[in-house]
Formats: sequence, C-alpha cells, structure tokens
Amino acid sequence: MVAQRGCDCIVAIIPGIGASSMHGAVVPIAKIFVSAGTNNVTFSSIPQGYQDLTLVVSMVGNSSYTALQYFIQLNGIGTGYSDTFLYGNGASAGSIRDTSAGYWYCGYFAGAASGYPGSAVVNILNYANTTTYKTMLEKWAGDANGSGQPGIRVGLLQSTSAVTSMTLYAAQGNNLFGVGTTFSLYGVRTVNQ
Amino acid sequence: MSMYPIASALATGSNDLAFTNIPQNFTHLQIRVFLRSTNSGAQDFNYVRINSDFGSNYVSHGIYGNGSGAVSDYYNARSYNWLTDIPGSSAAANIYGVAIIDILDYTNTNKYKTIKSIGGYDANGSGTVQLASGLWMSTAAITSITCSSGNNVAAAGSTAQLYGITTA
Repeated sequence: MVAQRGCDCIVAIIPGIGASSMHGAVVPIAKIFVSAGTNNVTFSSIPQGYQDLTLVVSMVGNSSYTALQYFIQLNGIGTGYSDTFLYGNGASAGSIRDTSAGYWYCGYFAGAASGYPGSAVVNILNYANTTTYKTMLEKWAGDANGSGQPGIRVGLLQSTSAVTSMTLYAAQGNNLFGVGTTFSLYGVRTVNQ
Repeated sequence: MSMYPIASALATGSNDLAFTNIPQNFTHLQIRVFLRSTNSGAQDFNYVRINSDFGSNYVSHGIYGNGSGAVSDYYNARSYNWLTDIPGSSAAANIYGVAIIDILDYTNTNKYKTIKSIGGYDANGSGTVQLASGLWMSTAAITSITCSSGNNVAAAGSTAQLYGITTA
C-alpha cells in the first residue's frame, strides 16, 4: 500500500500495481482522489524497484484565490529544498528561484479555486539512488480564461536518501485540495526492472 | 501509446552515455538523463549526437530561466544538439542535472529529425531550467545516440535510460 490519508480526508485509494511488462515502462503505483477538501496527502512506502517516479497532479480548489500552488516534501524532510523555474503569464516570461526552503514550491494554477483545474507532471529521476541528491522536473499549466500560466521547474533536495514517501501540501492551506483533485503516482522502469 | 524500456547507460567517470543498435520498431524515442559533467567549472551542458555524425548538421534553440529572467538563445551549425545545462565538476557535490528528451519519428527517412528537451539543474542559488528544440539535418533513421556532457565524460553516477514509444 502506498497511498494514505493526509491530516484530513482522502476517500479512494487504488492499491499499487507491481511492475510488469504488460504495463510497459510506466507502471501505476497509486492514485489519491480527494472527495472532501484537505490540506495534504501522502504517498508512503513507495516501491524502490523503478528508475524514476512520475507524479501527475490535477488540482482544483474550494475557495476564492487568484492562483493556487502546492508543495512537495520527500521523506518528511523539512530542509534543503531549492528550485528554479520559468513561466509565461500571457504578457511576459520570467524566471524565479527559491533557495534553502522547506518544500519544493510547485505549480501556479490560475483559477484553480474557481473551477479551472490546474495540471502538473513531476518527474523525480533516480529516486532510489542513495549517493546523489534528488533532482526533480516539473511541468505545470493553469488557465482561467483570461489569466493563466504554464511553466517548467527544476528542483533540488539536498538529501541522498532514497525517496520512500512524498507528501503534497496545499500551499494556501484552507483545505484547498478541493473535491475532484487527483494525484497519480507512477513508476518508470528501465531494462531489467 | 505505450512506452517500453530499450536500454540503460551508466557512467563510470571515464565515459559518455551512448546507445547503439537502437531497434527500429518504435514510433518515437525518449531519453531520460541524470547527468553531471567532469568538465571544469560549475556548469557544463548536455548534448545529443546522432549516428556518430560529427558534421555541422545540428541546430538548437532554447528558452531558459536562470532565476532572474527568461532568456532565449540558439546554436547553429554545431556537431551536436545542445540541450540543457548540467553541473560541472566544481559544482557542489552530489548535484546532478536532469533532462527528458523526446525524438519523434526517429525511423522516418523522408524528413529531418527534431528533438525536444526539458531539463536543467538547481544548486540552491544557481542553476537553470530549459526548454530546448534540436534539429538534426539528416533524413537517416536514428540507429545510435550519444548523450553526454560537453567534455564527453559524464561523472560517475550519471545515467541515461532509452525508451521506445509505440503508437496504434
């Protein structure tokens, strides 16, 4: 089992599916459905038998915010995160970085609190490696019919530990992982996995 | 559309990352790179060279973010496709860059080949993230790919995974 309740409520859990050639390289591990607003969800006991992890996020909020973000924390580690990202907002392109943070700041979903889902794909390469720091790549997009932002982000966690758990936090709190939000975790296997 | 693993390359600190005899029965290729360079300096770059073609047949364009602004640049008539920045040998230890590279219609012999890459690295106060395009001006089917750092020597622990993507 690799998905569990956050501090609030998660309703449906799909058990992890073992790696198999029938799934090709991308193997579904677990999916979390949000049926009542919550601040965080966790994937725990992540299998170590893949090369990479891919997290697919479809986020809707339940309150009135201009834009929503989510945070990622690995293994319950609360320090050592940084990231650099590139975005376009319909008027200009820009880049910002975060340093010495307690999470990876992720996404920027315009209108996600108003029924426009934000989407993101996060790849954590070589996640089970125990000799290198962890690096992730995120692509995200949110569009609210007049405002919006796509972006790409690279993030560093200064930890050599294998990734065994992943907690996603609603950055603005207030149970802003709203009903209909989904988080899907996949393993990407390479040869001989 | 399904993705299947084809091969894995691992650097020992004295080699680049290369794939040869690539099977021709997929529609697209994807390479997932975890890479650090042994080149001097805090930053190097990740490139792709196809079919051991050392001619000036490659062009790249990119947009990248460096933490303070968005920048676009290009490289013409190179002997490789420049794709993304990665840490060099003087970067802080244990930091590796990553890239996910897609090469569409790699067996088609009627058109040039186009590469898309998203990648970069972060070093807690430095680093870049890039979206890059690469053109290889050849109609040959792709049978081998070298994917490595600017000095052709990937740091130990660097890996690249090659995948084939099918269609209906």
